[in-house]
Amino acid sequence: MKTKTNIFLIILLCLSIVVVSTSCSSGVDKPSSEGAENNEGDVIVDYPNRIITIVVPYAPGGTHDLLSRLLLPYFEKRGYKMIVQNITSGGGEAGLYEVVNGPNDGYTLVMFSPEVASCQYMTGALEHPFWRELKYLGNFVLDPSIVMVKGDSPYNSLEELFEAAREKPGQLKWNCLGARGKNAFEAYNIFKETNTEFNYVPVDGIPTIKTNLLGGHTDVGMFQLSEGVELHKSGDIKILGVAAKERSVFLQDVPTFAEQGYDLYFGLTRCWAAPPETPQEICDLLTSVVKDVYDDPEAQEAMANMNAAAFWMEPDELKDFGEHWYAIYQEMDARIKKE
Amino acid sequence: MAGLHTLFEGLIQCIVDPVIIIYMVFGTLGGMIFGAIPGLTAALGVSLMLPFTFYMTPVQGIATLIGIYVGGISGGLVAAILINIPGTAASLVTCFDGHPMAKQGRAIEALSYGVTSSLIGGLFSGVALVLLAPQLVKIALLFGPWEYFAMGIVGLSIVVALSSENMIKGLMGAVFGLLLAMAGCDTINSIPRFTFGYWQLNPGFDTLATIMGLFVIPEVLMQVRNLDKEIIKTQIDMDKSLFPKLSMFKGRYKALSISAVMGTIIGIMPGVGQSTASLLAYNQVRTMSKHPEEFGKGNLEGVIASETANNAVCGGALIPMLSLGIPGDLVTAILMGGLTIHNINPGPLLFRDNIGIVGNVFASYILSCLIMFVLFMFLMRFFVKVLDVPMQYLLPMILMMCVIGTMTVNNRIFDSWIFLIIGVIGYLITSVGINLPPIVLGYILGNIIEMNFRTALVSFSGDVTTVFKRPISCSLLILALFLIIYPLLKDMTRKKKQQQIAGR
Repeated sequence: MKTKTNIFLIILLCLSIVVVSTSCSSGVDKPSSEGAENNEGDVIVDYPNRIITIVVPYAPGGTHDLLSRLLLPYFEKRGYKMIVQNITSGGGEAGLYEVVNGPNDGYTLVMFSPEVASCQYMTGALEHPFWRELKYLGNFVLDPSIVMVKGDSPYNSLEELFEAAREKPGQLKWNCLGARGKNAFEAYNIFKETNTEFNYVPVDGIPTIKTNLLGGHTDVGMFQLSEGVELHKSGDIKILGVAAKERSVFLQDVPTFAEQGYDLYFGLTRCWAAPPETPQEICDLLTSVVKDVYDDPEAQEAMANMNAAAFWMEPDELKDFGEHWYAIYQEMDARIKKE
Repeated sequence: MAGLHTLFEGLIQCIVDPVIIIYMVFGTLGGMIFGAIPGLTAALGVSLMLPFTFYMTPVQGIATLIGIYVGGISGGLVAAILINIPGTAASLVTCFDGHPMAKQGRAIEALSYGVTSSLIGGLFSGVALVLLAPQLVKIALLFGPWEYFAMGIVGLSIVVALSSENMIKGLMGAVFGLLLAMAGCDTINSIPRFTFGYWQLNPGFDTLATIMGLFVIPEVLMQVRNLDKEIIKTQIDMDKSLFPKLSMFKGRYKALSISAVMGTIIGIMPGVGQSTASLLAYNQVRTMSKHPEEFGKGNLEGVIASETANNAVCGGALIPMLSLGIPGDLVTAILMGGLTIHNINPGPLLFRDNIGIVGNVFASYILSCLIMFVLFMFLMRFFVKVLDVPMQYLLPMILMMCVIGTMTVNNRIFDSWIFLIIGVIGYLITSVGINLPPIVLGYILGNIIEMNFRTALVSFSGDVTTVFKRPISCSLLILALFLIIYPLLKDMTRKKKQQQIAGR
């Protein structure tokens, strides 16, 4: 009997040590609207005096994660030591909550796009309109959405595709990531503006969209440009249109939506933000360093090698971007609910 | 033969820069240790290593990551055989027959066959990768939502075969597993189910936490319960040699080849994974075996099937990664990140623009399989010494590693709670006689089945009959039907014969 009690005690001891130590070091799991203490005064004199953590709420090796990691050396050259921490979960809420509820001393930043935050607030995944309060530090990349078909598909332009859809409403399959998220709303926005009706089939990952396209299990696919460049260059898929203001430098031969008669612009920003209560001086300092790295030709080249379109946006522009899309998402959501 | 040429170039790179081999050895060793410890996974190892590879040359970085991958997937068999807790989800099927073998005093035999099967499975898919990547990837593209659904149903039909003793309990277990898989937001309507208001459960119960919970906690609690009873300690037949003999697979070539082929093919299909592949291979080998009733009680072919298939998946997963830039599983997705960080964009043009990297992947994969085998031969004695540690210290340590490991997946403690809670529920369920395999089956396959069923319905506008109009899905469903009826019939005729004999 003694061995049994021994074991239970040891198990209990070990587990409690682990649980207590890890919950102390990581932030609170539940979202709350209060933040940590606010350090005022001459914090800026001493900043930064230790490593800054960039929380990336997405899996390591993904496009968001890679962009952050790629840029770290350029910040280090300017005296800003940073590391990336991945806190993954679903659409990225866990990482965001972690940072928002954590310290505001400028040593923890998060990589979260305002338009994604506004979308998730609308769908209820986020409980608070964070995009209005986060202190953005400037935007690195604006990855436009692309619409594509299989390489040997009969459609060679957006118009041909939309014409075919108008002839057979609801028959052509459109694959996108997620049933009620940013991509879904963009897709429904397209349907509305082009007066077409596609069979919207949500899937769980971009690899699935790619295999579905290549295997003929879907007619159309839509995701971000950086993910599709390689397959387009090899001819396996055909990108029919880019939802950007100008032609992409990576796809010179592909016209934009605007060139084909549809004034539609969608993109995914890639930016860093500080938690809401971070002192403004620190945010301004960080923004200027971010801009400096952005302008660095080596950094620009690194981003270009990832097929990521560099696009600078000021912090206020990012906030407005999120607001602009919030309104559109609400409209699209109402439309989807009606169906 | 272009593939062989590329492989050759890759091997030359390793000779020119021997540091690559050193990184590969350490990577494989690290992967094996991660794989052997329940709670730590190959994916964790690879993602931990990813930032470091930034500072290496691309070739060194990829070699290290692939080493961790192969080592991690192979290492799981140690814990699975010795303590009935899979080191990684990939080896969970190895528990079914590996541990009973260990209890019968055939641990070294199980380990030897397991490691050699891993080597053979890995090499088989490596050869497929080198020679046939472009052709094989086309097979993966044939699989749309209906095909994935049908494959999931084939997998689920194993439940019938595994539950021949008590059908009701087996089905209950499978349904419980399916229910666990349903938690989370569904992909079609984004409506949260079974989340109890916790936003953390929106993506569902974390896979690692659930599988570890179902395996580890019931096993630990059961061991604790039995500690003061006279327990036959798992005897290690140390006098037997670990090293394989040439004749060891005599009469078992069918099991070996089926598992290798199935593992490779399933590896090519994105999102399916090692556990499903080993489950399906296990079932296939069992169905075609002369003594299916011995499976689950220590049949060597069960271990062979599981370990061959799960290693074959690794090579298979590299095929779409290299050919199309589409990751086959979580680890290959991180591997792709490892390439992108060095400005190499995986995609169909990789073969044209960066054939050196392709050769490196080929060479690293095949060399890692061999290195893994050699390391196991030398180090198995140390791994086995784990059993000398008294249970009262070993079990809490395993629990701790699992708590830590489940926490590292999403960097939050919530998943560790899931591990503990599901584990306790799993213990309660298994203690009333519902066995673990059907539960795990239901859980792993539940997602594939439900998500693809609904995606297919949306895709085909609600027309269910289309599943029969497509050749692959239709034949898979027929296979599933066969796999359900055949064991039932066999069982019925066997019972009838027994009655006849008894009646005389």
